[in-house]
Amino acid sequence: MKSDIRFLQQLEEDLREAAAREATAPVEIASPAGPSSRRLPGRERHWGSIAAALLAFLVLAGGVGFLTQSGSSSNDAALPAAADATGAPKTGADVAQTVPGVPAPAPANNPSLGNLEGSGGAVRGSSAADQAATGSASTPQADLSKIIRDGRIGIQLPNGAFSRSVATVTRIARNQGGMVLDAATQNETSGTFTLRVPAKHFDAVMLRLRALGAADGAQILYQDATGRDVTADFVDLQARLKISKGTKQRLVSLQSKATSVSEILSLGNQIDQVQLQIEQIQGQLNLINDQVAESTVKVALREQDAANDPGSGVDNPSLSSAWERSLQGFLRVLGAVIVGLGYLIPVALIAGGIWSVLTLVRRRRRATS
Amino acid sequence: MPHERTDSELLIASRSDGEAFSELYRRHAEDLLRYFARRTLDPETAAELTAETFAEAFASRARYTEQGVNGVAWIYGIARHRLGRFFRSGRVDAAARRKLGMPERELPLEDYERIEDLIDFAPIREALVQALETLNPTQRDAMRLRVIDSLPYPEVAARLHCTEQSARQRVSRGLRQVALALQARGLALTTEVE
Repeated sequence: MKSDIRFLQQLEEDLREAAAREATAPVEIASPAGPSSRRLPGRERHWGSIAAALLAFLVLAGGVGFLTQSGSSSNDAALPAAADATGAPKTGADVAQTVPGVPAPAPANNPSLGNLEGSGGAVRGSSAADQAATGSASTPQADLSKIIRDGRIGIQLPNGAFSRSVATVTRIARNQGGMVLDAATQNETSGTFTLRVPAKHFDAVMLRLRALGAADGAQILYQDATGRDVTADFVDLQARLKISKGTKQRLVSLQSKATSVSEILSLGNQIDQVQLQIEQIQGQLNLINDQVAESTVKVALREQDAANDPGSGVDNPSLSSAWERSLQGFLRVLGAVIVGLGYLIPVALIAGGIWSVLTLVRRRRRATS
Repeated sequence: MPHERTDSELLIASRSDGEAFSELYRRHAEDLLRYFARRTLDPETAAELTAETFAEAFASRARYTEQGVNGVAWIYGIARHRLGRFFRSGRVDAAARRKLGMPERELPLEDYERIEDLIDFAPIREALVQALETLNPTQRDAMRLRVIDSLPYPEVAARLHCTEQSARQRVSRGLRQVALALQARGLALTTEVE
């Protein structure tokens, strides 16, 4: 039945023309679907748009987060060099530096290396350089900070240089007062080594290993150094040790004045428990001192044509290391997104506010006109 | 007597036969316009929503498969969705028509009264009196003369000292605002598919 409403007649003509256009040049038509065919396409598009916008926002946030983090980490990356040169301590709970393909460091007889040697002590306080810079300390302060420093380096060697390099690595460790704790080699062409060296010689060892990687035909595949500040843990343990010792003294005093056997036995039990605590705390303090006093350096050497690749950075490939790496990657991405959201949300709120005001004004104008 | 195709058959046939969609359109266009007019109380908005609903149905007709859903119910599903969006946003977009390259046409003058006839104002007159208080004076006067006193537009225009076109616009916009006000108060008219 044809309507007498002119608008509907025009609309019918418009639809006929659209059909004719589609017949000559087919436009995108959604294919028939199953159960979802009853869902409204408009609604699908609506939610699709929202999801796409949300995804784009999160990707943008992640990008901003990575950019800002890489900006700050590039600043941090400059710190170790400066710290090494001045003997200033690394600050922060963790400081990591990864330098793939780092250019060769100064050779061992370089005067600058001489300045560096002995400067990387693990137990360091505010350096003289810092104090001079701030001008706030005329007398040296007590050295309280506890930093555990570890590092790793992967070196690709020219063919036939593996045995000679192993000897060099061993000599470096020994000359710096350390030792080779672990060694595993494959076919005399590749291998991994764990060095334990005095923390104060950590920087010197790393520089000499880098020099090994800078020799003719060799290449540094990766290198990083980490510093973990355990000062807070150490101070906390010391405080707990002091309290426990005080408690033990009081209990011993009480026990000496006890008159009944039951009191003596009860206090004896308590003294035993406190003593156990004291020993546990002392053990942890000793462990920290050991870790601080000595650094671990993992060295991976590999000849150019070696079958296995110790330079992968995974010393013992396993599910646990894979899990740790995936978790680390996940947390980094999450962190970058959170950082990016911190930048974008205020911008989005301001933009949303302006848009809302404009929309409101437009509607009011339309309503009043 | 030839077999009259069902709505579902027409929708499925319209994928390759443009005339089938036209037949479906002629069968339901006026009912759909009435459906929108009674809910929006605004001829302009009702016409826009009708055009957009058919354009969207045409663009996505390939999605329709007969699985217990009648063809016209499928179209009214799109209509309900469009109506909900209108009540949320207060406007009708023309995305589906733009996608098909269809023009956005204005409602011809002679269609206003024809569509208002579809609305049947009697049952909502009382509710309108209260809702009129929410309008600005120019819209309220136009609405009172046209909807309550049932004066023809030329006389409404004469009493308001404005053009007939302006009077129609005031009434149309006033109706739209009243419809939105009723919706906001939960006083919207029936929304079931007719």
